[in-house]
Amino acid sequence: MPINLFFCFLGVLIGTLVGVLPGVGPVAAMALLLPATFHISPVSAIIMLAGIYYGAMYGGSTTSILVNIPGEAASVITCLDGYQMARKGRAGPALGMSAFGSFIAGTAGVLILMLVAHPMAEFVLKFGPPEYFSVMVLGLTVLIYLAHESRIKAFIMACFGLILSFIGIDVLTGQHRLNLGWMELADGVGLVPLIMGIFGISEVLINMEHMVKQEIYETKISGLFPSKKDWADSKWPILRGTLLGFFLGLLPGGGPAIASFASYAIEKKISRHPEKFGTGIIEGVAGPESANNSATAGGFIPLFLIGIPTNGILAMLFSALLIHGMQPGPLLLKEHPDIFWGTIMSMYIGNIMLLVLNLPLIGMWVKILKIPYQILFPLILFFCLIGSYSINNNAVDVIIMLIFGLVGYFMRKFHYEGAPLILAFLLGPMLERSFIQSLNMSGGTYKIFFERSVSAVTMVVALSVVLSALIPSFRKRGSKK
Amino acid sequence: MIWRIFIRRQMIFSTLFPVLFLVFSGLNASAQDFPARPIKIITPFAPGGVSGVIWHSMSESMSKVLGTPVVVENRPGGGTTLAYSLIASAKPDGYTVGHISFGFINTYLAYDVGYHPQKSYTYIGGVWRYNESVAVRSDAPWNTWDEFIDYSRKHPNEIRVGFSNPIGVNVAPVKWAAQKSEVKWKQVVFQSEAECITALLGKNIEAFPGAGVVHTLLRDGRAKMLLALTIDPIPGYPHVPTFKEVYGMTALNAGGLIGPAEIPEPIVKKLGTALQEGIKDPAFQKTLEKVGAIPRWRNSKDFYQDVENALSNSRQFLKDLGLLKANK
Repeated sequence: MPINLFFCFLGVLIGTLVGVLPGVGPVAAMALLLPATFHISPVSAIIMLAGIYYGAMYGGSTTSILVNIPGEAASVITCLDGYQMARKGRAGPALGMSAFGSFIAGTAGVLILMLVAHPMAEFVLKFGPPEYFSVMVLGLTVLIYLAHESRIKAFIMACFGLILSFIGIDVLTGQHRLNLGWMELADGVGLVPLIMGIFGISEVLINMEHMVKQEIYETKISGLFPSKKDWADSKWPILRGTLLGFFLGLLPGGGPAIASFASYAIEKKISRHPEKFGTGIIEGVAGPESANNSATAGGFIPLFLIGIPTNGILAMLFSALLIHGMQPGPLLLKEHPDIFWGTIMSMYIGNIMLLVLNLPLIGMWVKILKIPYQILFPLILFFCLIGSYSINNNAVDVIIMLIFGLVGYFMRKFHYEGAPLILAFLLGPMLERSFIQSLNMSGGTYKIFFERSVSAVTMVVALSVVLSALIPSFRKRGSKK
Repeated sequence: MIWRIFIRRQMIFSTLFPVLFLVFSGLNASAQDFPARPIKIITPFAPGGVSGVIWHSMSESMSKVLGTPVVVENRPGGGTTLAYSLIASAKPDGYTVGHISFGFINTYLAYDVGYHPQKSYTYIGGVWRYNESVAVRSDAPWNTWDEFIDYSRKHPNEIRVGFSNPIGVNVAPVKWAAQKSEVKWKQVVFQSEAECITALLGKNIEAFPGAGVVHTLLRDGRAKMLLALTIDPIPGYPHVPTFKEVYGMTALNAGGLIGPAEIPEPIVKKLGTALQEGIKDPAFQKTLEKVGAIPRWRNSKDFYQDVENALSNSRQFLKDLGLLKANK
C-alpha cells in the first residue's frame, strides 16, 4: 500500500535524522511521535516507528565517522575506526561501507526473521507464566551483566525501575499502592514521560552545561564506494557481525549497542593484526555497523512473538502495539498477520530506502549537524513538553517527565545508565504478574520454575550468569587477603 | 408593617418571575437548540481499547443524526475510575457524555471511587450486550458445564481457570459459581482477555470467561463454550445454558451511553434517538461483532433498571466472595 510506503519513508527519514543529531535518540523520537500515530492505521504506525528504529542505526554512524560524535549508543564504537578513516581522507569508503554493511545485515536479519517466525510462534505459544518469568529474569540478569560502566550501578538502576513499576494498581487484588494518595498515579508512571525525562530532558540539561564544541571535521567526501580490497577485508566481519548481532538482538537486554561492541571485540580478537584496530581500518566499521542493524531485526522476535520487549526502543514499539489494540505475543502472527508481515516487508523496503537515502544525502546530514545547539535544544525541550502532554492530555505527565528529567540529569552526572531502569520498569509488572500466576498454578511452591524444562534451563542460565559475575569479585577479595 | 410585607412579597414575585422565566426559557432554548456545539464522549480506556473502537464507529452515525461533530475522548486513568468520575462531575447539558460498561458497578462495590451508580448519572441508553461466556479448548474432555463442574469437584485444585481481571463482571459470577458448586480451581489472574486466550491455547489454563472468545476462538473451532454469562442464550449457541438457568442469578455485561445526573429529558431523548439510529448501521454492528457483543437497545428507563439489577446481583456475588467493601 502506497500510504504505508510513505510512512516507512517518513520513519526512516526521521530515524536517520535523530540518528544524526546527537541530542535526540530513537527512543525519545518514538516517544514524541507515539501520540501522533493515534490517527493513522496500526500497520502504518508500527511501520513508521520501526523505521525510526533502524533508520537511527544508519544515521548514528554518519556522525560517528565524520564528527567523532556518536549519534546514538549503537554507533559509539564506530567512532574508533570510522573517525580515524575520515582523518586519513577515507571518509567516503567508511560511510559507504557502513551503509552497505548495514544494508546487508539488515536484509539478512529480516530474512532470518521471516524463516524462524512461524516455528518460533508455535514454540512460544507453549510458554506459560513460569516461562515468561524465567525469560524476564534472564533478561534483566544479562542486561546488568553487560552493563557498560558498573554492574552494581546497573543493578541499582534495575531495582529503581522495578520499584517505579510497582506504583499504581496491584495486579492481583486491584488495590492502589505507592501512589502517595495521588489518584493521578493510580495507573502508575507513564512509560513515555519517563523515557522523555530520562533520555530527552536530561540530555538537554547535560548539554547546556557542557556547551559542546561543534567542530565539524571538514573533509572532502570523495567516492563513497569502497574499493575491492575494502570489500575483501569486510566481507567476513559483515557476516560475523550479522549473525552475532541477530543473536544478541534476540536476548533480552541485548540490542544494537551491545551487538556493536561485541562485534568490535570479536573482530579485534580474531584479527591477524589486532594492533591496527583504532587506527582507521575498515573491519572496525563494517563489523559493528552490520551487527547493530541485524540486532534490530533480531529484537523483533521477542517483541512480536513472545511479547517481551528487550530494550527501551522496542518498549516504545510494544506500547504502540498495545495502544493500537494489539497484544504482542505468539498469537499476533495469527490474529494480526498484516501487522507482522507488513512490518517485516516494510523493513525490507526501508533498508533499500535507507541505502538510497543515505549515500546521496550525507552532505545534507552534515549540514544539519551545524544547527546551533542554542536553537536545537530549546526545540527538543519544547517537543518533549508537548509530547508528554498530548499522550493523555494530562498535565501530570508533564510534571512526571520534568521530575525524571532531573533524575536523569543526576544519573548521567554520576554515570548511572538509563537502560536497565527503563527495561526493569517495563518488565516489572509482567515480572510480578507472571510470578504470582506461576505460584497460583503451582499452589504456592517455587518448584514450578524448575519443573518445566524451558523455564528450568532459563533459570539455570540466569543463575550461572549471576555466579560468573560474582566469582571474579570473590576471587579478587580472596587474593587481597 | 403590612405594607412592608406587601412590598417585599411584590419584590419577591417581581424578581422571581423573570428568574424563573429565564431558567425555563433557557432550559427550553438549550434543549431545543441541542446540539449547538460538538458533543464529547469520554471513554475510560486508552486509544485502541474496545470501548474506543465501539464509540468511534457509533460517533459517525450519531453526528449524522445530530448534525454536529461527535468526538471520542480517551481518558484512561485510575483503572477506569478517572473517566467515570469525570463524567459524573461534568455539566449536565448533554455535551459531555460517556461510555459505560457494567464493570463500573463491580469497581464501585469493591473500591473507593468518586461516583455512585444510582446517583451520579443520567442513563441515556443501553446500546450493546457482551457475549460473555466460559470457554474451554475444543480438545477438552468436558462438553457441558455440568461435566466440567463434576470433574472439578472430583479433582480439587487440578483445573486451572484464568481470569482477565480480579473482580470484573465476567469474573465475579464465575468465582461465585465455583463457591456455590463447591469446587476448587487454581485461579490465575491475567491482565487482559488476550493473555487468557494465549494461556488457554498454550495449555497453561483449562478455562476462562470472556467476551472476545466468541469471535476469535469459537468460530474456527479452537474452543467450545460451556456456560453463557448472559440472561438470554448467545446467538448461535442456543444449547449452552445461561448463568440464569443454572444459578438463578443474573450475570450481564452491557454497554451504553451515560451522562452526568440531571440532564434535561428532551436532550436525553435526542441523544437516545441518535443512538437508536446508530445501532442500525451495519458497520457499527460489524464492530460490535468484532469485540464479542451484540446490539441491545435499552431506553433510558430500562437501562437504569438493568444497572440496578446488576448492582444487586454483583453485590451478592462480591459479598459471598468476601470482596464487598464495607457500607456498599
